[in-house]
Amino acid sequence: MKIKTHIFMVTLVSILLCGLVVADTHHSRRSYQGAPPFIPHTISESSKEMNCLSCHKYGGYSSKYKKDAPKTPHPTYINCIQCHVPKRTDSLFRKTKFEKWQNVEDKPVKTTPYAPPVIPHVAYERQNCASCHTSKNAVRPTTHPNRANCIQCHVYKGFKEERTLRVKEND
Amino acid sequence: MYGADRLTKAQIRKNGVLVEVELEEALDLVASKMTETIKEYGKDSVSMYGSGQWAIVDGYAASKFMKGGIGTNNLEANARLCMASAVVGFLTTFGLDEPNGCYDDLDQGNTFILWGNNMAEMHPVLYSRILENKRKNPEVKIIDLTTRYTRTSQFADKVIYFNPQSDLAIANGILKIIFENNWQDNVFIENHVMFKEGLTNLGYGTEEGFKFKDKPKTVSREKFIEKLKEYTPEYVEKLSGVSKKDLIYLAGLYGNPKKDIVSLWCMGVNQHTRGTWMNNLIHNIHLAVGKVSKPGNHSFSLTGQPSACGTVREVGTLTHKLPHGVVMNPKHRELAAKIWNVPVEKIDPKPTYHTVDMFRALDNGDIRFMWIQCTNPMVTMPKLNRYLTGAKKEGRFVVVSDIYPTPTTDIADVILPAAMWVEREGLFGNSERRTQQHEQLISPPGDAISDMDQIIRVARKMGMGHLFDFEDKTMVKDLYEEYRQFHKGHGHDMAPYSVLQKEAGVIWLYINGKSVNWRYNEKYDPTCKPGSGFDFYGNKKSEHRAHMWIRPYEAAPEIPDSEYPFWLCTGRVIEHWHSGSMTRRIPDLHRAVPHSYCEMNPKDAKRLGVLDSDNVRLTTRRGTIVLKAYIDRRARPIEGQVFVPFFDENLLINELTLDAYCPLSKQPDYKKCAVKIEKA
Repeated sequence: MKIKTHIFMVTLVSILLCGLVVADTHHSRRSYQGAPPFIPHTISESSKEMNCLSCHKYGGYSSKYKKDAPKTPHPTYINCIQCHVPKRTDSLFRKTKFEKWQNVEDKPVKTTPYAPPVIPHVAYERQNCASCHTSKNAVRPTTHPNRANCIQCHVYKGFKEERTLRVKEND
Repeated sequence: MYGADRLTKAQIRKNGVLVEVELEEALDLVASKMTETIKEYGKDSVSMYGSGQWAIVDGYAASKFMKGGIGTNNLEANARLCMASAVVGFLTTFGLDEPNGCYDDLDQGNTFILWGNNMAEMHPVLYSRILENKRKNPEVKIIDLTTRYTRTSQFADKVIYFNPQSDLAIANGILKIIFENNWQDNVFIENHVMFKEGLTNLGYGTEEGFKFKDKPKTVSREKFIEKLKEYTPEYVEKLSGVSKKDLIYLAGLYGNPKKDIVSLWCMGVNQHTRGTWMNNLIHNIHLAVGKVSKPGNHSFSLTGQPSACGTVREVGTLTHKLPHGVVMNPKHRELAAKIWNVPVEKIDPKPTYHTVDMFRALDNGDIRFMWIQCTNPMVTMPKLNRYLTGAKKEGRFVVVSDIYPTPTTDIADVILPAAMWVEREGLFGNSERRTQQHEQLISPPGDAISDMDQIIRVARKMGMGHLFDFEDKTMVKDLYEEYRQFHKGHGHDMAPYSVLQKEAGVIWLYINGKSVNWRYNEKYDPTCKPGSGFDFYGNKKSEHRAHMWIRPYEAAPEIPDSEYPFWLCTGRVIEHWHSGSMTRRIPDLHRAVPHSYCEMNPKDAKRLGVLDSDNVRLTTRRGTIVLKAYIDRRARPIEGQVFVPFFDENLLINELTLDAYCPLSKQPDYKKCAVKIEKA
């Protein structure tokens, strides 16, 4: 019994830690909330060979990087490096005063204990919830992936422009 | 915006060192120095060099101040280095500047031909629109005519390589095939086209005091076709390396009535010693097959800077221009004098220096005072060494308004801290003739104020306050409303300020509360004569017909030889904006591309024994530089050509480039000069 609890605790702690690590990289790769994350691995720069979508279109295990490749929420955009850039140095050209605007809470925000948590981040270019929240890499994987229409229950936290954007899209 | 070294205080050079002072003191010095210089050396010894990143009202205030207040035509802007060939191309072909269609053409066309244009990096959002169109419609084809395999080529259906400068031959070859096969639109040509011929053997403007004036004349259709005879596929192939098959394929696309064609170009065609000709030639092809001013059919010159169209081209912050028309035309001067409420004699009828000449004059001492706003010429001028030394000479006074220290502020006698676009109210105008208004969102740091405010405050100190006799609070609106009067009834009506405040930009020609998305086409443009179908009303003297110009192939001024065997092409990367003064201060962008490099073709590299990341020394007749060689990274230039981005102020490639320019547009060619490569 004791051993079982022990194993349970270890598993719980590691899951939590993993969650934190994922959450951490998830946010730290964006220079601000809503910015495209940078490319954390080396890329073959030669445009003749570039094909991000061969791994990131559907996501899944990459034998090259020995990791799960995250699935892009916007696979129809094929010129990926138009927004996502690799990192080749840690240096700065000049010092910066930029402070990251971080408005994603670490805990789910709920109005009542049983209410569906609100969507805490900007969803621009991330409207396809399933691509992130059903994968193994998810910061918060959904418990009910079979319900496809997420925004039926989960609402935006209150980004005014976000709502306008969606209304326009649905027109 | 967040760079820690943001300029927040004015600086004055005292005993050779820049020291911080109160803004008022610096503005006083600018005004007194300007007055003094005019008194001592005459009004044409002071000059202003602005930018296609100026807000519309900045450019308008500059024009009014220089042309209406001081009475000198010494006003230029960096758009001369970027869009001048497109301007003269549109003017000589259609009689009015700027594209006929709009961005909708990118969604509606089915064939996109890119003339030396790396859209995926330089116009990424617009390229995405084409890619989206292609995704939804498999018929869409992208043809990339290029001297370098780029990220754009990656998505193209066909990549056709050509040798630098030979685009002139290719365009003529296409025209020849079209007329030979009777693919032209005879009805359209009959009713709406006139054939023209200009001078040839124009020279390249590299010598001091170079002057050129074209003598256009009308010619017959027969003569026009006769002149194309030379451009047989064999001759074109010899010059360009484009095979007969590919040339016929291209001509076939243009000639196919089922194809809705958008030709797109930017710096490859414009930064060209025959840039105006190249612009004319692409318009020629579209006119020959009647594919102009229709949805999805467009000879579309893309703009490099956010407000090159809105500010420089429309306001006319160029030596020969007025907000409407040119200084040479008495009627245009009268209109300007009336709106500005200044005596008409005040406006000088003679254009003075275009950009390259202006910096040459600063070197020679004909110009003693220069006010540079919102641009970084000490990184971006070709043959930089000369102009850098010239600007530092004794007896030259240089004022620089900017947001960060740059190599240009290094040579300044006065630095004025400027407000960025989000820190002030303003307007800009883009490639598709859309004017957009923006509100101030945050306060500028320290003493920074907008370029417009700087000009107005100096003007007031110089006793020209009457030019800007508006409430400071409503200055932007009032200046815009005044400026709008220039374009009223001249095929350029613009939306009122109140409409711009409500809309996400409005395309001008704005008539009866509606934008004209396709000009010159009766269906969309109420300016056209009823029943005309198409009406090129810009060419009033040519029976409202568009011009098709005879424009032959002429060689580049400096061709690779045994001593300097490579072509040197310069340009941008997606991460960095022009001289990098802003983008390099953004951590992610700097980290993605921290320094400049030299892109080489792997075959050339192998021949020279150069491996990726090896240092190579580039030498031209003007300068030398050591860069890291990049082989098959971002892009692959054709054999015999190297490519170097110009954003890096520590590795100034423009010390090597040539200041030859198109004699018609006066735009320098940054894409072609001869260079020697050695392993360093």
